[in-house]
Amino acid sequence: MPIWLIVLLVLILLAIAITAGAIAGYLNGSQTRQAAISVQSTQSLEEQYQLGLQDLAEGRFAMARQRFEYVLSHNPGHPGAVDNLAEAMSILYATSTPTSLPPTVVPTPTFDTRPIQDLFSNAVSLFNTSAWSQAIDTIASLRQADLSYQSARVDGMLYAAFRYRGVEKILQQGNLQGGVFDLSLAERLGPLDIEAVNIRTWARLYMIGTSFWEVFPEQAVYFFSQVAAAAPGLHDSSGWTAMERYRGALIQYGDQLANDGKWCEAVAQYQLAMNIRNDAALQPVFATATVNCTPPTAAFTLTPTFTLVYTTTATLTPTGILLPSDTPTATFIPPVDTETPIPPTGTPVPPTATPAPTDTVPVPTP
Amino acid sequence: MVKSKSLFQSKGVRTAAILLVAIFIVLSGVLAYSFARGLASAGPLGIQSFFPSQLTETPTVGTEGGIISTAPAEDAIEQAIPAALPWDGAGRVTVLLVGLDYRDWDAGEKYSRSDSMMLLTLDPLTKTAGVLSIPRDMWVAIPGFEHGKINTAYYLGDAYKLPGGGPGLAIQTVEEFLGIPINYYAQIDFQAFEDFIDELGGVRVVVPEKITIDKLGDGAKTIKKLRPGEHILTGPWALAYARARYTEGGDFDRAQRQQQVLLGIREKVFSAEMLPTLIRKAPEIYQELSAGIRTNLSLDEVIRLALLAQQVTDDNIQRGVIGKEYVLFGFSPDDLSILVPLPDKIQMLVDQVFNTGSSQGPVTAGDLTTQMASEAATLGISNGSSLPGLAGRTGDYLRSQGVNVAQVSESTESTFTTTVIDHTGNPYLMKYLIETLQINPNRVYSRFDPNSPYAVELILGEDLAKSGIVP
Repeated sequence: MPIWLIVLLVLILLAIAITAGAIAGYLNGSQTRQAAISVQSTQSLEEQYQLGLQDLAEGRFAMARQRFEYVLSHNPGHPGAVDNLAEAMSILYATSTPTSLPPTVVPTPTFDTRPIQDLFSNAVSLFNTSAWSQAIDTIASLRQADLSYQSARVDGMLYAAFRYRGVEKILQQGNLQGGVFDLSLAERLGPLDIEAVNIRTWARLYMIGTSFWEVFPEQAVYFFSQVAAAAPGLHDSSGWTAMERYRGALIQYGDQLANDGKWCEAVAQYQLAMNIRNDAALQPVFATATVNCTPPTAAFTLTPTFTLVYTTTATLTPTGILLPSDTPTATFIPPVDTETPIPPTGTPVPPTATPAPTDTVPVPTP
Repeated sequence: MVKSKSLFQSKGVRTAAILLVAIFIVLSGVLAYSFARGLASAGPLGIQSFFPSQLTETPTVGTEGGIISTAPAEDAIEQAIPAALPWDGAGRVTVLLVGLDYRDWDAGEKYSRSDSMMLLTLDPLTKTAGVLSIPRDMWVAIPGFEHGKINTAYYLGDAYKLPGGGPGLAIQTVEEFLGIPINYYAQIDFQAFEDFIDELGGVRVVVPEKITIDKLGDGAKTIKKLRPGEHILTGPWALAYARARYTEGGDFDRAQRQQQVLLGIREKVFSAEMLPTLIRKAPEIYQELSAGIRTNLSLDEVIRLALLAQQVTDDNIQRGVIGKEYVLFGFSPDDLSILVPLPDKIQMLVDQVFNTGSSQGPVTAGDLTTQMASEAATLGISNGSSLPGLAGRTGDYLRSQGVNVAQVSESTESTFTTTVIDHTGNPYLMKYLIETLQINPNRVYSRFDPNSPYAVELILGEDLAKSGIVP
């Protein structure tokens, strides 16, 4: 056999070996990678599920909900996650009205290269079925392809889609800021109707109240009292309703007054809170404040048994407050004693309704 | 040659040669197998290195709710990657830039707070962009937690091993705070930032007032005084400039400086000589910096965004800092200095940064009458007033103005106040009717009904009958 033929044969065999090896290696490597990803993903999901169970057991319902939703979004058939999610949500929203809906899976949009007419028809059909977000995305694609196509109708669909999505975000999802933002987008296109305006006002008042939460309780009481009166069921994404926020702000304000020794005013705040909903934690606080507000006669002496550990600070600088233009003006007026204050004879009970701060980072909320 | 030939004619040598060739071929196959297997199992662009496993411990929560200890837990890399909010390339895209707290980083803390947060937004259609800085002490609701400073969100997400980790919770917190959907995030560490600036050959900043900056490290050579005017800063000094906070305006001034550095980077990246080089070297740079970057942006998306950003002129970049006019100063329950946001004012700033020149605004050209005519929405008019013929007269009048009046009728119910109801989204006709007939804003309604016989319904009341507006 001539030597060149031998060399050629060797080269061919070599090429075959390398190709076959590379293909086999690639396939095997891909399988290994997929298996590793799958194992890692499963481990991660399982870990999240276990952490969710731990959160559920320890009363961190919002966090538990987030974890179960994550598990279900990756593995809808996960055994137990649905029930656990339902349990977390039922506790979270026990006092909330309306309840927020579980998040829907958002389809991944891809750049739409269909003809403009198809894009427009698709936008119209999405719009007519109230699929607001998808309609907005499709309109973005349409405008990318041709900004001027049916511009008046497209403006109109965008206007209504932002209006209705904004209201949905506020009323159903508790995404107040997101809803207000959508409504401001709608307002750039046309006038808002009275219902949308009112809903936006409630959301704004709620958000202002939330800004003052735990910091300026008197202000929080003021704003949440208005929202609670107009829309008691309005809620934020954490599940708090306006009414519960109002109650919480009253307790915070009562705590602050009690801490300042203004017992009778504190009693008034606690009383308002108990009128909304009474609970075992508030009763001893209320009782102590009541005793200190109306101290016993000289024949009766209180023995100090408690130490005040709770402190709260509310320093307002500057003194001006921004208010929505269409709401009554409020100013920060320090509470005034209407009765002659009587020095407490006993050391007050720490307000158990609000836990003493223990760290510089927030703790999970139930 | 002859010798060789004779060698191969020997049976032993021939067998050995065949054996050697066979071994060589098999070895080559095995090597090819190993190489291909290694490549295939590594994943694209070593993606795992972008998301270092930081979540090795889970804090346990004490009875008071504070973080009291940590317990080891298994590594979980995947959960630290928040899923990107899908971006189709057509709509507005928003990226959260996060800088971590040097004190946590320097102390070797496992979890870090964020030190600076900036939102970058870009509208591909109108070629407009915006930058908004959020101060670290902002007092906000952190989803799933009590109220806290916004800089703790990143820490909490990592420390509690939430799905999405620190970036996920930071994104969620900012989204709820500002109402803006965020598509991506990017967090770059100090070293990677310095390296990147050096790769660019430094950045140009115009210093407005005298400032002393202090770069990372020890010794006298770490301090520099910058006079007002133009300076080209190398990586370490650019970082020092962006981090400096001891000026009169504190964090607010610092946010301005960070935006200056960002725009300096933009200027350098998009300079004619730099961009082609950077794009060519992008995979290499990306890989070099990858250990110091945590992001859900792929290299492809980075390049797409860079090319888009290149088309935005300086005039079309809105800059905003949530400064002292947007907050109240206060103290948290645990006595930390905080900034209490004023939501209405912040909303106006957000509108300015995110909506100026937005492709989500009105496009129809012309004055209101022209826009209303282009809309061609059908109008149904019914007369709820006691004045006979008012509907007919109103219909004639509106037709003469270009309104598409589809039907005029008498209502069976009487009403005092004129009411307008939009059924299908018709902003121009609505606005036209409100202005022309002076309709009370409290009587403007939306009732979505795509099957309604009219796009807009107008119910005439006594107020219109008495007003004399309709000829």
